[in-house]
Amino acid sequence: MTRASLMIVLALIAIPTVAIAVADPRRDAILADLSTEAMTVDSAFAGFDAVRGKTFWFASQTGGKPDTPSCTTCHTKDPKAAGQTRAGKDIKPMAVSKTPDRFTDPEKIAKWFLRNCKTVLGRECTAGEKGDVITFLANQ
Amino acid sequence: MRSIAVIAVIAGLAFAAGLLASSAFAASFFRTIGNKVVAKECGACHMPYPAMLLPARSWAKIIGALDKHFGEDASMPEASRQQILAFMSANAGDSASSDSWFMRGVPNTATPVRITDMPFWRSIHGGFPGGAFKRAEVRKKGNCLGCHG
Repeated sequence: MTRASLMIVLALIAIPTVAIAVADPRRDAILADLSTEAMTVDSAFAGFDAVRGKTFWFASQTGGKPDTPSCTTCHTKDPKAAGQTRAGKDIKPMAVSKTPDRFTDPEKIAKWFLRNCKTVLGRECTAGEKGDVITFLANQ
Repeated sequence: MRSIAVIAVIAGLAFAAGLLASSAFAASFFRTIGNKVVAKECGACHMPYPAMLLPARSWAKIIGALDKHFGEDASMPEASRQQILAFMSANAGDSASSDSWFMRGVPNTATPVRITDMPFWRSIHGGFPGGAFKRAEVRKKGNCLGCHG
């Protein structure tokens, strides 16, 4: 094995290690359930995508309440920063690197996606959207 | 003239001592929520309010429409909602266990949903300049702990 190819192999090993740094079996199980749900709705579903999740997170939505057009209205444009509820209370950062137990409690996830999607988009989010957002924030 | 000044100083000191004593009382009063579900669910977005600050009919109205909660969707699992409703009703301002002082001036026909609309609240805070509630540590009139913490 040449030195260059060894470096490539080491690099390939290192990439998943970075992702594993914030992994949690509970979050993996939640994502697996969402993935199953997404596939039942869309047979072409090919896995969650952090980039798509990022776009969704920062997008200015319509259909919800005019004063909360985006996830970032309350959570701020920095996922690693604390946000603020509309009643003025701090929200811990959504980035899993800052708040490691994010997206590990199915009931909490169901409750907050239901509330916040209705407030921001005027509808419930799809399993695909939820999985994309969780994937994005799990890598932040 | 001198005696008036002395009386004024004594009155001022008594007033300050009273304020201190009442704010110490207020801190424990506002922080004590005797139900874990209330503390967790209500406290996720705002300070959990003591049940005695509104009559039971107000809590029933608020907790009966959590999907439209002051402009937010605050819906939650039915089991949690029922627990919160039961606790807030049992300890409401018009319940036998509460001090009826908070209910003064509220007609039986009225169902106020904002504590800041209650006559007791207005009688105490009504004269404050609006800026008093905009300070960074207060932010909103509903954040009692900003001043009483």
